[in-house]
Amino acid sequence: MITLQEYLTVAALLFAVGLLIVLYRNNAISILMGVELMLNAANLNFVAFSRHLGDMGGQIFALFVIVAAAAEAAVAIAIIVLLYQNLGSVDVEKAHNLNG
Amino acid sequence: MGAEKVAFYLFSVLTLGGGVAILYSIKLMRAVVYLLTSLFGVAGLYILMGADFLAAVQVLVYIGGITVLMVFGLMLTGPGQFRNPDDRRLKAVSSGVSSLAAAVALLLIIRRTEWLSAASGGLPSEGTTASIGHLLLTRHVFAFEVASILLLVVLIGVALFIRLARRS
Repeated sequence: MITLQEYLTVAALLFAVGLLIVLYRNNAISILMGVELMLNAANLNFVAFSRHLGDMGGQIFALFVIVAAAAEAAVAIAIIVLLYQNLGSVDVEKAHNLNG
Repeated sequence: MGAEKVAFYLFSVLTLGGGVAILYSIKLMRAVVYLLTSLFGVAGLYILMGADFLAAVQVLVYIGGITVLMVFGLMLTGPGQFRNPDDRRLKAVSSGVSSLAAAVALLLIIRRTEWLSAASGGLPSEGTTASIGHLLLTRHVFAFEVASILLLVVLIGVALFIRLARRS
């Protein structure tokens, strides 16, 4: 039997890896991958608590997170493609037109 | 060590190793493949937790949908973007320190908190699909409808977005 804490530990480490990718990488698509990993870590927590407490609500919540992640990925890819058409690059450090 | 424990460690290594490999991969197309392994590991963990429907959705939506979308995004942003640019040392150190701090804080919270004892037998033992479907159409029907409207808005919005950007 695997305890709740072990699942939460895996999810916390996955969240930290996703955060590191988001902070470290310059490429917009890599950053999007980091965001997906962080969303997955949150989902792991939802499902772990769902099993621990014997309540299906966590799994329903994880399902809606997956829906939101799919929508977010579609919009983000469209924005990245437009960024590339306007800037010739997907490097987020170069997208500083709105800097004051 | 039982089979469940072995499977747990296998899927955990798959999940975390995929994430670390994304961090270290220079070629972005390989990073997408590592993302796929990581998401597959998460699907395996869902199965270990008894969430079989969610694992299937994970494979269908994430592995079948989002990674393919990322490959499309990679292809459409030109050959120069297949590689990650060189990073500065300061950025590497600062991002490493902050994410390490986040990891340590989360692990301390997990260790120090006294969790409620596990409830026994709230989840259906013979697959969760039927009860998820039942809950979606009774208790969570409003959220279900809002999610479908969200997907419709995204579908139309992205198409319009690209069309308007191309015209201007």
